[in-house]
Amino acid sequence: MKKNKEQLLIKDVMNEGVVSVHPEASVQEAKDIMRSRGFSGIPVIDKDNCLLGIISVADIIRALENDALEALVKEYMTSRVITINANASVGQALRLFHNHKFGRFPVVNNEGEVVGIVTHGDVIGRLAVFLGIDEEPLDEEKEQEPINKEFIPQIFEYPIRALDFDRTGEGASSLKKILAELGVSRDIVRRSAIAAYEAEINVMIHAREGKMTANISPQEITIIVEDQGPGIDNIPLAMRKGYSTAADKFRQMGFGAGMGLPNIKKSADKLFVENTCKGLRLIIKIMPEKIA
Amino acid sequence: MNLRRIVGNLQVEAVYNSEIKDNTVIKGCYIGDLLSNVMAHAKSGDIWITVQSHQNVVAVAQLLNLPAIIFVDGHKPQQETIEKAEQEGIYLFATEETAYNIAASLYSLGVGRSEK
Repeated sequence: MKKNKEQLLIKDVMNEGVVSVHPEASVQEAKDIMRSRGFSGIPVIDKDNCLLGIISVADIIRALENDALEALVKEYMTSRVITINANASVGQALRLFHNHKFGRFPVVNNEGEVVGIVTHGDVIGRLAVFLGIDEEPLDEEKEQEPINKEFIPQIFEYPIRALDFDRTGEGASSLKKILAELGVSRDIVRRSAIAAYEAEINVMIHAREGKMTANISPQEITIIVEDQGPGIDNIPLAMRKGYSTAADKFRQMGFGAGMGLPNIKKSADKLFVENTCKGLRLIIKIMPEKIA
Repeated sequence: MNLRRIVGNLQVEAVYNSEIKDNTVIKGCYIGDLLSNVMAHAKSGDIWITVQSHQNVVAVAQLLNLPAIIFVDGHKPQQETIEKAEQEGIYLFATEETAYNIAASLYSLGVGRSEK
């Protein structure tokens, strides 16, 4: 039995209970809220519950460039805000998303008060459920957004100290957080995190020290990992699943399964493995636009 | 399925005290001790069953968005593991039960099967 699509309203798909920031708060505070909640934009609402703007990752990057994290949110927010009524249909929302390149819209009631927020992913997700084409149960944290086209390319560098076992994975972890903050889609974040983690583990197991550099742009994420180790004698052999030269002590800890390079290859769109005069260099390219 | 509801029905103990957030949803389960295998196959939202107790498991869970880890067969996580998990907000549980028994209980509860 199919319901009329027009019956699905914004209030049915929106996220209720809005996390907002005060206009007099600092950009730093807004950034912390967004980081801890994993949001790429939050509405700016004053104490009279009046919507003044939205502050997004792009605004925060602008503040970062000016070294102005202490500045007030109201100075960096985007004040031209488009809202949608809670009683509007999801069809109207889809048109709005199509016509404007925003990732989210605040939802207002008839009195103009903000009652929720709706993302592109919320609408698509609920429509999928409505149409019975969803494969996975939805949950609150699901916020699948397309790649954010707005962010400015940036470089992430991380020194890898081999045998510093306790800290292994922190480079990948930092990279993951940066990508998530930039609003990169989940699949790309996951693939980048896996590739970076495995590369980091390889440096720890096989080399003395190394360095991870990630060039991040909306079109391409390039992770370069260079180490000062023995390199690889037979690269095609090392690419095979199950082939490993890791020492026993690492194997006991669950490493050295011979899955590192195969995992990286599977996660990457392109992978170059080359011996250098110092050690090994991996160039891992992940291209978000390839994702359907 | 909410993690709180799951652990209420399992023979496991919380490793550190922390209230489970309402929106902690478990979508499936992965069992493994080879970290690269876990990296390759565990999915976001899975609860992870393992015997590896060193702190790198937290890094793996954090990278893959695995909300919780269950240490089975009486394995207990190391102190550094616990501290790092608290920091990253990964829930830890321990049990004397086997991976098989825990996984079977999860399956009976409906974890990883389509919810309606």
